[in-house]
Amino acid sequence: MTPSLISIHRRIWYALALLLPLGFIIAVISIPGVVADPGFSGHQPEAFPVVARSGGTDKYPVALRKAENQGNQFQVELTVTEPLTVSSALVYFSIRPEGGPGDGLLLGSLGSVGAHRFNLNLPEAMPNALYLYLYDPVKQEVFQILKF
Amino acid sequence: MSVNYAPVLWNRQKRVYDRAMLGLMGLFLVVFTSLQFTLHPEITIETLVIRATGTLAFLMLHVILSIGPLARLDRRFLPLLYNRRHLGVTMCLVATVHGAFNLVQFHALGNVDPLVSLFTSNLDYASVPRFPFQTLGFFALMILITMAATSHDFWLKNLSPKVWKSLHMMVYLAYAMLVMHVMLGVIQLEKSPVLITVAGLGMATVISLHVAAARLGKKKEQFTGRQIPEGFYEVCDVSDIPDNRAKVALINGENIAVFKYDGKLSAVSNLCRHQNGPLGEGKIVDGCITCPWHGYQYLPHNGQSPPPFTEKLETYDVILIGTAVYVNPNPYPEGTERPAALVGSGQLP
Repeated sequence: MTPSLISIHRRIWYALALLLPLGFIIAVISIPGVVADPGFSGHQPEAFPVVARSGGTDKYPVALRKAENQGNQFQVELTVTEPLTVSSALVYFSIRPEGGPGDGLLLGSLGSVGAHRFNLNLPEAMPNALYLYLYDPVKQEVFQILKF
Repeated sequence: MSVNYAPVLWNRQKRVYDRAMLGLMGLFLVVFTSLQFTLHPEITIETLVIRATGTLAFLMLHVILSIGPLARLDRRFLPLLYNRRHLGVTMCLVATVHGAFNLVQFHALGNVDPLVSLFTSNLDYASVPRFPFQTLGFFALMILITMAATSHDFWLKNLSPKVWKSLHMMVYLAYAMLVMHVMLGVIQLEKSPVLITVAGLGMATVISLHVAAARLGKKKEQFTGRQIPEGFYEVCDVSDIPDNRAKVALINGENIAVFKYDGKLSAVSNLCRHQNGPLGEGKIVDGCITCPWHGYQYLPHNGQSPPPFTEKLETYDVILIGTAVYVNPNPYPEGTERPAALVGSGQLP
């Protein structure tokens, strides 16, 4: 290299030796911590103690839970065992084996793998079979019907 | 060398170099893929390709940037310098695969042009953890592609070594952008102490090597001798120069290499006509000064490449007084023959 390029080369590396570690440290101390989202965590209620009935599939097991001594307070617990392959998923409750989300009650949305609980009031006397529709609002189609 | 252009002037060393490079790349990809499937069984092929190529290209860039200072600090690393250009072009290809998969995966599936999406989907430039790190990667990739596209000797010849070298020093800017691309991208998302440690060690290694080589080079090249009559400057004791090697001196802005060979001393410009490589770090092979970078050769007494090659270097007067070597830093025109100083004569030639 020519003397001028050697000099430029040196200055570049002296500058990088100062600036890059500075940027590195700023980036490390700026890493966001794991902060609980109160809106999200509040959305997930505690599991009711009594399992009134269960069903669903291996991929989406469903349990209908019941609060002790609370009459008609129930809870639908839907467990997602594998990552969803749809970009968005809504859960509808229905007493009909056929039909679309328009026929059911919107309980909420599904997210990552794990249990998703939705509280709802139901009469003590219920049909023998209840249904959940898993609906993809982007493709506008029901991709799973779960019976329990 | 300079008689005609060919895409690649293959020889045994280049083949060995490239095979070793491809073998190590393959090994890395196998190990990385196995680790990914073990640690993240749910990983998709697209994500695996993005992670593997990004990590491999970043690792290769660290190796490429370490070769230069390593070769200056220890001659045993010079063979790695020989075919660094192939390593650079290959790294650029791997980085391009990483960039293309990212562009398709994250920006090509909507109804907005992928490049428009890249630059407009995140404009939070004021935030460190949410900084649009992909733009850093994009501009770094543009630099790497420009360098790879102009890496052939055709461009070196037509742009001139000085312009070409200046252009290729942009790799340092690309490296800085890529370090921040990683730190503001995957590190912010993964938050892994292992990744932070590895990235920090890599950066510290590259910076340390370059700073150490720069300081060593400055110490070696800065001339500290006294001026004597007739415009000559003392360079060193003749015993400081090993046989068939050189001593480098920077005198009045002239970068000079004084070679000792066959009981004689000759001085030529330290800048190879190919890529301004450091001739003084090379040696005499078959009677010719041989550049340590790519093997360009020159005759020590007149600075001319042996026929049919046409490169020529400036030459300088050398004298020996006692055992002290003196050089006149006023250059003669390229290819001018100058009498060599005879070792042991202790007199003007």
